[in-house]
Amino acid sequence: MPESEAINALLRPTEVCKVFVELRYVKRNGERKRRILAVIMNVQGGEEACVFILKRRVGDAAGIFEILPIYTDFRLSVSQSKPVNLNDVNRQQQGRTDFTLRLSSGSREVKLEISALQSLQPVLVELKRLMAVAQQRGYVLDGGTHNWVQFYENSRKSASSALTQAEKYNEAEEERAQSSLPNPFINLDSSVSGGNVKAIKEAWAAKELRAREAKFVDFESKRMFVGSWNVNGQPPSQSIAPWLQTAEEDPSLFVLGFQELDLNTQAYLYSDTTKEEEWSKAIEQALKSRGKKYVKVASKQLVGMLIVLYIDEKERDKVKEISAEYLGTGLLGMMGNKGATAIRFRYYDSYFCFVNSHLAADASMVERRNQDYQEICRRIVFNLPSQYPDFTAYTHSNPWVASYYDSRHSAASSIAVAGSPTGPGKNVTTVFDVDHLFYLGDLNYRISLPGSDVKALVSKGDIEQLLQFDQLLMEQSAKRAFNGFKEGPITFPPTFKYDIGTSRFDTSEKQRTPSFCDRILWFQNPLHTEDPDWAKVLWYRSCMDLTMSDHKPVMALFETKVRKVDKERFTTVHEDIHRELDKFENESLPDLVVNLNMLEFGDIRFNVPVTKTLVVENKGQVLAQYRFIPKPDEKHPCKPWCYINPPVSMLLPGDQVKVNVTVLVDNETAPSLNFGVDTLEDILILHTENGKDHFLSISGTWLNSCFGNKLDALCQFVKPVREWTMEERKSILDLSESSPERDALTEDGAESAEGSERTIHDHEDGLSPTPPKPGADNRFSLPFQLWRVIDFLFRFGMDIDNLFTSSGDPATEEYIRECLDTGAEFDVSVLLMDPDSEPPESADDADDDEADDEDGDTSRRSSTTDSPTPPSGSRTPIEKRDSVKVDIDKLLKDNPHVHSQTLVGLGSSTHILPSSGTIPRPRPRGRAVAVCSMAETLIKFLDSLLEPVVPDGMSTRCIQEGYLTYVAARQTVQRLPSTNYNVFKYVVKFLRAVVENYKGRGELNVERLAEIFGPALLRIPKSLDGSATNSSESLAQFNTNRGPAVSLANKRSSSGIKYATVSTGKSGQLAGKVMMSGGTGGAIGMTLSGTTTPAGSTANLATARSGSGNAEEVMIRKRRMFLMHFVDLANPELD
Amino acid sequence: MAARPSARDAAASLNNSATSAGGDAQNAANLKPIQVKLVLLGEAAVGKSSLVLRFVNNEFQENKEPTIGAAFLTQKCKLDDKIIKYEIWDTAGQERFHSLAPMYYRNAQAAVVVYDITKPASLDKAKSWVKELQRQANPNIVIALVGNKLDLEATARGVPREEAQAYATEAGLLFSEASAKTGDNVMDVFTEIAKKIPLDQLLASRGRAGGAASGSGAAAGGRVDLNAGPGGRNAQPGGCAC
Repeated sequence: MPESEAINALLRPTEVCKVFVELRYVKRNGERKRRILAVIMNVQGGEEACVFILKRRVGDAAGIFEILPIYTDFRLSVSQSKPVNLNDVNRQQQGRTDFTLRLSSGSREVKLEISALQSLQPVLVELKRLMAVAQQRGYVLDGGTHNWVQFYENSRKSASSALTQAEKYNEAEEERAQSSLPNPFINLDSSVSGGNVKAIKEAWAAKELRAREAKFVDFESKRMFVGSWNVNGQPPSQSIAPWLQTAEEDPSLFVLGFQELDLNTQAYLYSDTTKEEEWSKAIEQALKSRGKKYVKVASKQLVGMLIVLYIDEKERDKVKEISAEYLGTGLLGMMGNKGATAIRFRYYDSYFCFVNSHLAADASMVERRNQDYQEICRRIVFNLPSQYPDFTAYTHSNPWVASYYDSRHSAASSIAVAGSPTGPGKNVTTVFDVDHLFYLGDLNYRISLPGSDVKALVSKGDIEQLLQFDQLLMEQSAKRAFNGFKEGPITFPPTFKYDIGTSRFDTSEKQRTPSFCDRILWFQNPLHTEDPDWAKVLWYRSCMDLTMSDHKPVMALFETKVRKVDKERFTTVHEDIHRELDKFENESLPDLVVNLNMLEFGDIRFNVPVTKTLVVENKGQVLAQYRFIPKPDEKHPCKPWCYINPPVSMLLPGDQVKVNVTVLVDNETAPSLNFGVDTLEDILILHTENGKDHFLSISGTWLNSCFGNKLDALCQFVKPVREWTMEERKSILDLSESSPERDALTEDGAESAEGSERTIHDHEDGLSPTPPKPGADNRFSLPFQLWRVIDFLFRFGMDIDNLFTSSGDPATEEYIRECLDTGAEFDVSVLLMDPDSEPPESADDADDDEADDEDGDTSRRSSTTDSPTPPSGSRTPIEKRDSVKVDIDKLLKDNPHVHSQTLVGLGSSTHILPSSGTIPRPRPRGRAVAVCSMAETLIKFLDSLLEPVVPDGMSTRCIQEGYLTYVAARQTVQRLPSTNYNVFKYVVKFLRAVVENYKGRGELNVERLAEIFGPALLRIPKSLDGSATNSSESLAQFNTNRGPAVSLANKRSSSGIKYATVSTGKSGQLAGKVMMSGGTGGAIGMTLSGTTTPAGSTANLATARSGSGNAEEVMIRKRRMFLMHFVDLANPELD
Repeated sequence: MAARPSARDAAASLNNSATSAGGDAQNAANLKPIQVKLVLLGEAAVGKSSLVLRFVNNEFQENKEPTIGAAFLTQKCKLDDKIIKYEIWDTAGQERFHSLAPMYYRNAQAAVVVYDITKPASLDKAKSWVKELQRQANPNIVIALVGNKLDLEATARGVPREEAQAYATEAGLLFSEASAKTGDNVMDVFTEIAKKIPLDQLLASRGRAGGAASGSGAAAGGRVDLNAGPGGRNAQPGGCAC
């Protein structure tokens, strides 16, 4: 049968199906069921409509699953839902987008799911239209419209009740089994945050305990006698035995409710207990003759209302946690002439509540009675036993007991609840928070018939007919009062009103209509609706023999199931549940997986970043966050030469993130590696929030560099830096630690001046500006690498525009550094080659070199002879290395800018043998770029020195004492240790040569050079003023924080803020770049060098910083003046 | 308006107030787990992760890949009327990760030091772990020495039981031989530890420390000592996550 037919088969001719769609109904536990959504409209005008959720049955018409009338409170929302259960391919295909449709009408709410949004479109259009209609016409619940829906509501109910008991049981079992399945820690709608985990666990455990109640609970049927009597203010003058003796066998409990014990108006204000005592005696008298002995365990009186509980003495200790309350709803809405008294207690492991109530009188007061009933249900609350801190704790300890929330949809829905009386944080229970609730008393509902008719029907014995007009039953069916309550079949005549002393209906003037005022009802436990034996009435009677009141007593014998928890089995189930929770909890732990645990970076060179990527994937079922955390006793997650991006990230289940780990050794970190203090080895800890940790081993091979090195060390070893042994490298620090000159100078200037003088004298022989050659002590007088750089600049750069002011090419600089570190000759031909003249790949080609040899030679010769300097832009030939040497000598000789004295023996540069292995040549960029790259290398080299040319301990004095005159300045530098002095002298000599060569061009004057080289030669200590000291500390702190080279870093930065600032800036900048590009090493290198003009970076930074401290600004100015003395050609050279 | 109070005064007669009977409610309250941080240490490939897997899931995997990091799992364990919730950190055994171990044994109330009964060298390593724990871990830490791979006893035993037992007795350790593969004695290890841990003390300190999982109180409260770092990272809102 197609859907449309199935739907139509269901409908009466007065209704039509406007539109329908097939979709999935989402159960609360996340399970999906196929359902049909149909929009049904009444055709008798008014466009009254409902949404029906239909269920297909095999070979049958559709069954109504849910009805949502379209009133003004009808709401719908559509949202896109991400498939959650990625593992379950049966239920949801991966990658499919689902849409969630939520519909609600009043308290009814359904969640539906559909994949094809377009098929939902017509439904949405129609619903929107009908919602507009409902708004326009003001359709509301109980507003007199939509009466036709009742027909379908009935068919919906009968359909579900048509199921056999067995089927129902199975379905209920299935539902429970299903509800146990989902992991409580994996919430479909939102992620579980740490704070509510505890609550989730407790709630889940409670829910499971409730579902598995049968496994650890034994139920025993217990009989209880419940009676109610309005005694009309009369004392117990008659024996009440006829009332209480009616039970064939002895029940366990007697619960009796009395009304109008005391009609004295004073009793409204002053209640006294004598009446209770009187009646208790009468009760005890009446119960005496029974087989069991009964004892009173609880009672509560409010004016005329009294409720008492008697129990079989043998079970006295089974009744616990008794509490009793009252509520007055009489005069002024609070007096005790009307209202209720109630008791709540635990009997074995079941909770009972009995409410004895006297509602408003008079046939016309139906509304008032309804209202009083609601007031009583809402406002009678019992304090929790002291062992429960709040309601949540109580429900978690008694999860199997029905609660107000379970009852909401039956009883409480008709109660106008203004804020729930119970709930988390509150410490009371309502009358509904029990297993068994009984409501008894003079409820005062009348029969809406003339008295004579009633009497006639009574005499005919047609009680059934009479009940058609019973106000209480009518109110119940209209759900205006006592919704969800049940009552035994009434087979007795009305209990009110009789002439006192008789069983004759009222013959007084008033001729009150006989009515069933006195009633005993019980509330259908919402958790046990399928169990007919949960609570059942064995009989329901009135007692005609007692005539002293105008009411006849009523009584009922109930059989109820009483729970007994088996401790042992309970513990087993409890343990099972916690084991399952453990499993769920472990399953719901964030589970991040990394694709590798070893990151091998290979060779690492100074200032050349290398990046490796690792993939982190969330293979768990919950949102997971990772972060890199520091190792024990460390403050940073990685060594200072390592950069992680992103260091923190959050991943949805199934998500992947690429994490770039970059190793970059800069000025800051090179020294500790050069001197063997640190190695490129580290373990990163990738910590999953609330989950496991992954260890990532990272390793690389540091290629020793003259950058971030020490002048002393560079002079000491007559071999390429790269070939220093580890022992040699480690010895460097020891060596310089004990250097007497430096220590003395640092501590006390006056004394040390002498020492330095002596040192210089010792090295007098090697002092004149000579090419670096190992001296008699097998030591260079100045670092060979420095000489090579300056030599190249002097030979090829003395005519380049923007020397020292435009930046170099990172690749070229990298090549230069590599040559310096390995001792390999610069491939001058490649460096000087015009990028446009030759395809770049030919640069490395030996054949091409050979072929171009002669040609190149001549062309170079001609160019040098033709003009004093090689014209920039002219074709630079490719030459063999030997020929270059020769050629260069020639070039130098012909260069008028050369100061011959400083360049003695320039051509013989073979004191350091190159390391084996070839160095990849950079792409030729032309002479100008090569020279600028070399210039930048010079600045960076000086800048990278662990200790500057003018050691930190001396720089202040040098500047302060020497800035005014040349003589004074010269005196100060003569105190420098010999190596430092040699380097200083050599650099100054070179700068003078620059000034000479650029004379008249205005670009590089004395002042400009002093400004550029000032920071590279002398770092301004920060102990100039308070603020500077602070920043020094923060820098020292920074260095400490940054990592392993603590001692080194501190040593250099503690007296060199300027320098450290620059380095910091670079690191920061690099980190920024890494973060942004996340890209290749090349890109990073580019960015770095590109933004760092040789003069610019330091100078600019100096300027930027100077704003903060005036003293520093002054020092910078003085430093420039100090240096200008030496560079000024008017002053003699240093000797 | 004296009506209401006076009515209340006079009307009530409650024959019996709530009894303090130890019902199931109280029982359930006692079943709230006590958290115990436990760390597994030992040479690589002695079967630390396998022991945990057996304890937590009652499973065994052949050829388990080495743990490179520290796995985290929880498991409850019942002792008399108390429930102990073990928060287990299963650490990497490789020597290169040795320096990271303090992160995991710091603030631990229990440590299981595992060796392989077929490899005498692994007992030496276990001994050095015990020394380190006794020197640097929580002074009240309960240490269990466990010789794993008991299933290989017949064919490949390399460490005599008596030798390890003697050492354990001398060093004041719990001792047992177990097999993660067969499951022999695995549960007992954790039960024995539970018996030896001063649970009442833990309960008391938990009650006191509550959410302030810091300092020494973090032992009971903070799930991971990592949380208690000066940066205050990831501090669990509640002392007890149960």
